[in-house]
Amino acid sequence: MLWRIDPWKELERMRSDLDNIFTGTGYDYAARSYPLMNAYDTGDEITVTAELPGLTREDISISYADGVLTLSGKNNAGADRNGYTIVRQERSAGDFEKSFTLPCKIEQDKINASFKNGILTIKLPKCEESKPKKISIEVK
Amino acid sequence: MKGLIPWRKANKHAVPHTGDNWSDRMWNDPFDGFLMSAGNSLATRLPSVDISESKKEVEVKAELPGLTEKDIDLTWHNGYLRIKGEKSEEKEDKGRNRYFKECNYGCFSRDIPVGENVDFEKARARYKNGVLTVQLPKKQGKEKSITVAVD
Repeated sequence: MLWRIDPWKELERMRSDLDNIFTGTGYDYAARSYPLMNAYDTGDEITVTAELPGLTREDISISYADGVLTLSGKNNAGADRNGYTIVRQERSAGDFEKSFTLPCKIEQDKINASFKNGILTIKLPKCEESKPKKISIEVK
Repeated sequence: MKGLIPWRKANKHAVPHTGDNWSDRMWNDPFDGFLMSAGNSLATRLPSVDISESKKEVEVKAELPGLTEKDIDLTWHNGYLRIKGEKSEEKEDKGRNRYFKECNYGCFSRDIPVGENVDFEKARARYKNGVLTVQLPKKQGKEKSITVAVD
């Protein structure tokens, strides 16, 4: 098995992996469960993405309550097919549920989600009070 | 900070379908099966693959979320199907204030054993909802059955 490796990128990745172990959260290893997710802050909103290859819109459900975002659904990968014998099966299948607490208040009614090429993107607009504010400095 | 860490209920998890356990895999297929198996931190950089076969064809399904057809390159060599590609990070994601990042990005290449008995010229591949499906028809008339005489 051969693949192109950028040694600097690999070192950088190793370093960040190690940082994750020792900075206490260690989530990178402990909670890296299906589905893999990213969450980031874009200023006015929080964007959460999840990798759900092979699923359809109908298989996914998103809920939000008390500041907790929950993603759940059913993955039908590897469902039996007539006349086929399974040689290798690595893809996850079954029910899944994953949640995380949002770091600030959001506009519950304005949450929107899109699903493309197996990537689910959820955009959660922040409440006015949670948005970053610019403070102008008065120069005297 | 703890609150930001994703969690899930212990009884409701997606179980990988594997007929064998990891120790079997380690011995049978040390590099491809164990070190690179799904769930391993190394392996999460490689796509998870399901392989199944019928009398007529071998079917490979690979999980490649967030790519397009143009990002994927398929070659066949000596019984191995090579899936190569590059997954680029979303522009929006770069340089933003991140809470956590579990997904992997970058180049990958994986060789999947499909056997010599397939006709790569007639292979069909399609990409839908982040899953690549490759169907490789078997060459006909290659398999012979041998009758074993029992004393």
